[in-house]
Amino acid sequence: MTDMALKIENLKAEVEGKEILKGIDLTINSGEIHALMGPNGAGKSTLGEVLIGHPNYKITGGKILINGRDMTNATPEERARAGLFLAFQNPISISGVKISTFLRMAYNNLYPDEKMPLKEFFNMVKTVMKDVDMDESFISRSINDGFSGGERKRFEVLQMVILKPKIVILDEIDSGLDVDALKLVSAEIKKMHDQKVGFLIITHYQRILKDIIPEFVHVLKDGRIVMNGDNKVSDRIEDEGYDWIKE
Amino acid sequence: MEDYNKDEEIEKLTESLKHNKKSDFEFHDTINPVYSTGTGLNRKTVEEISDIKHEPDWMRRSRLKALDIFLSKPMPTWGPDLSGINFDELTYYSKPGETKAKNWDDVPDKIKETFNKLGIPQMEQKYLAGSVAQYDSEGVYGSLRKEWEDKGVIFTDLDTAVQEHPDLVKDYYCRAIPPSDNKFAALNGAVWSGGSFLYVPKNVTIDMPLQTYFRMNGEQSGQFEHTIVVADEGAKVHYIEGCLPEDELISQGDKFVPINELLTDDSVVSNTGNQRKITRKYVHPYSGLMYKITPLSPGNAFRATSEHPVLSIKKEDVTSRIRDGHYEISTKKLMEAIPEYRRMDELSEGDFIVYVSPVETEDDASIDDDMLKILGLYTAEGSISFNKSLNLYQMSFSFSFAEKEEKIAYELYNIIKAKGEQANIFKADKKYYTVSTYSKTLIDFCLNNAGKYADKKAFSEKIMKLPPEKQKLLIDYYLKGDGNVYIKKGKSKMIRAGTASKVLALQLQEMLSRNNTFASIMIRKASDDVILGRNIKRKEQYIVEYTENMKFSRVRHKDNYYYVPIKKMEAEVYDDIVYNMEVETDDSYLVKGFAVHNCTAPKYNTSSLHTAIVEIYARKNSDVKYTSVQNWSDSVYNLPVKRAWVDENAHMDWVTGELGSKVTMIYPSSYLRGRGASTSNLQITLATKDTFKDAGGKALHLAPDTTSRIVSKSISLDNGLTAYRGLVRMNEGAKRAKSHVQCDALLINSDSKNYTYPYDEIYEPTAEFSHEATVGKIGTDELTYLRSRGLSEDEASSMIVLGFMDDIMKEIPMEFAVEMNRLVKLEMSKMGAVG
Repeated sequence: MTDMALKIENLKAEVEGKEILKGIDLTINSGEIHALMGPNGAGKSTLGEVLIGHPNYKITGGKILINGRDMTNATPEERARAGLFLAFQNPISISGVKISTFLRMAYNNLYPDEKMPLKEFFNMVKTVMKDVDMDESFISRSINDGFSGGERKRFEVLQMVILKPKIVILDEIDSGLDVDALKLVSAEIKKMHDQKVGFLIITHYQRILKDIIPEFVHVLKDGRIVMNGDNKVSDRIEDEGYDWIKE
Repeated sequence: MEDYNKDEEIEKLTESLKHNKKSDFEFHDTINPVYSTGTGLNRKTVEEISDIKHEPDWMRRSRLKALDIFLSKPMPTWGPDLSGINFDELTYYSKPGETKAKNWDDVPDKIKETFNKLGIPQMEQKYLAGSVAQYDSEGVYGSLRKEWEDKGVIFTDLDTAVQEHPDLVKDYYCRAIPPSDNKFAALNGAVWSGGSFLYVPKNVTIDMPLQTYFRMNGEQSGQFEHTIVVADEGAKVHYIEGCLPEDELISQGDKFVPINELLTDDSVVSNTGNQRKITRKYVHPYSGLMYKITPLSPGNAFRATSEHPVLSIKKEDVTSRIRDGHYEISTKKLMEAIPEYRRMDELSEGDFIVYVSPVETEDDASIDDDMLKILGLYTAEGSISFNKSLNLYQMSFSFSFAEKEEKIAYELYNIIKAKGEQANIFKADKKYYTVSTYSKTLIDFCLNNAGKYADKKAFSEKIMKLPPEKQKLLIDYYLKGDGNVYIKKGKSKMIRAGTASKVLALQLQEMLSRNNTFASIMIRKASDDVILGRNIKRKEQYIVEYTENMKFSRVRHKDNYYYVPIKKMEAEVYDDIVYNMEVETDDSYLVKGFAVHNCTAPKYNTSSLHTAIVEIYARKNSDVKYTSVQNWSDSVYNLPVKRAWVDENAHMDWVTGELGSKVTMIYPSSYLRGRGASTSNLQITLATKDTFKDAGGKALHLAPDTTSRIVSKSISLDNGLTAYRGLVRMNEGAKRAKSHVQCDALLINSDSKNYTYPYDEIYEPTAEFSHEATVGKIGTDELTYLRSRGLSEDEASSMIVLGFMDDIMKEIPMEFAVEMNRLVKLEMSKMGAVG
């Protein structure tokens, strides 16, 4: 797989006139695992959503570069097609839209030249469903419709595996998952990491970081990255919380 | 095949969707009515209508009484603005022809043409137990299958019923909906004309739907049909108002020929072989069976969804002498048979499908015989290369060293020379003759009209339109290069030509078909092969094969149709996106005569009025389903009054789809009069720009153990306005009555609006009543979620809308669901940005 980098330069964004991101610099290369930590309200989820181009946020400064290409103003689908993927913290439900149709359409959009036969595609989906412990029957259900918190998270992971992104942002992927499910999810992340996928793991607690050791840890506070370090930082946050980190 | 570029595809799709096809069926016929009451409404108009219909006195009196009520009632002001209706300017009655036909052939040509455009005769033959067609005020055609007639079923237009079954009509006419009910019921009572009368006797079950078609043609006219459906005790019937859109023929690109290139990414090559442009293309999810038809000519195999109509002839209909379980196709019967559209899943092996040979030609005098000979040989044997040292393009033709080919090589050389162009001929390796030329004129001509690479060679549109004689010459020379000839017994000659280009094979087939020959296309998998002493590593080959002077053929030829038997039918479960398309050129000759659309009124700037009455009497233990889908043009005020009396243990199903019109007010009602009576009322409404759809339903529980369910889904686009207005009344004594109302509204744009006016009058303490209502927007979050997985904005929003309708779509007839899907996507894509 080709190397890819997500580069964020002095990124500023606001929602309804309120500035949430106040100048973020961050670079994630293929095969790297970054953890983004920070107290509630620091702007962690905002960063994830701004990166995939959620129209609720207005970018007021800075740049988002994917493989050197300026994608600051690109649409969400353009970013997805460039290889970016966000596993949402609270995946929304869309009634009546069948998972099978949705996945197929998404895949065909991302890989228009592949023309994978239908059967093969659904066999692949079913295999991944097993890996993330989702029952096959989910394939004909509507997107997140009536799903439990854990099921929603597993469906995010399922999409991540099937859509083969190059840079993945996981927003609180561990919340709502029990220990066994978390293990399955971590295994999938490791598999993708082996294939040089770059990760930004957004987490409030350190739960998932026990299985997935990040090489880089960034602490976000009030819209700014106030500390960059390695897993020693996350270990200390585990013990002491965020108070020791000065802005 | 070109690499399939999704972005481009979607872009094209969106672009092409902007060209709304609607204008195609908003045609306006020039029919001069034989009689019209002129504009305006007064006592004289009503008397005139009654006179011309030679009505009995009771009906005449009833009309006049209704007129008085109409004039005395004020316009309702509680709903949509109706000030656009000018009662003085409307024409209340116009009669298109003198007599009503029972046989389709007797319908006046102009009107027949109109209904043909809507696909009615074909539909009737196929799907319906009977039908009545109405044009402006009068029924123009009525029919009922004999088997139902024999059982005592009456199905005719109401005018005829008044004459022929006066007592029966009198029993039911205006009982459920008396003129005093409301202003528009009174208007209908005064000026009604046409509409259907259906009576189903005790315990008769009609298992095919009965249908009425309407078309409003006169400008500023009103259509005031009055329909009465009576299901006697224990009877069962499904009545459809509107027309089944055989529209799939259009929307899925199904004119016969391009039906073949239906669906899915890999089958986009037009089987006509022409470089026909795809003028419309869109995507929708499909789950169900996908069929593959392989005709005698395997290269023409195609896939289509199970409900997809295919022009065909059933073998049973053209068989004679069944002996020892064997049947034999009677050529005579086959020649007499008229191909019909049948669902894909009704076809089986041995049935005939129709290969259509294009009839239009357009000669190009600049392409003379010599040019055609050169082009034929080029297509078979030619190649173009760049000579670097000379900085020139060179076209060369290689012929193997056989006596016959030597002759051709020299012929070609001489032709080029005679044209005054440069040419060389030489023998190489003692094996090949090579003829070459640097002539720019000839190179350009060949490149433009036949393409460059062997597996992509295809003739240009210009060539495909040449007269058949010219094409024959082209083929003759093509075959001199690529063909094999096998002389069979006697005079019959079998001719084969192989090509790596599928398009070319189909084009050759098409050209041969215009020369009275049906060629089969065989597929040979990629392999090593030896052809005339040459070792050739072959890609997949398409072998065009036919026999000249054949005594007997399994393919029969009639005019420009070839009836080709089906060799194999296969079906597989399919759950995926299907791609629908329309092909430019084919529209012109294959659409003709086939259903184009739902009952769409012609487009006018001034308003028309549709005020129908539908009275349904579901007697004890009966079961009635009434489906209506309207797609009136957006100048029509659609104000029908629909009501059912539901007796003991009877069931009434209303299914309503409101797509068109400027203003609609529709509230199908069920009066649950007997113990255990039940009703279900499903409704879907769509309000596009500048339209107001006020819809809902009423359920009146007048007896114990009655149940009702009302489900209403509405979609507002642009500044469209939808309203739910419903009444559930549970009288004291309606013990254990149950009712559930669900109304969901979806607002697509910030200007879209929805209002909900539920009226609940519950007087019975043991009754259960629940009401759920939701108003949703296509939220940014939902859109962003889908888009973040790669879907375009258009794809994402139509997916959400279709998802919203999903649960009700399952309950409406497939054909309507498809139409609804199509309209929604069309409207969505016209909107551009959503949000």
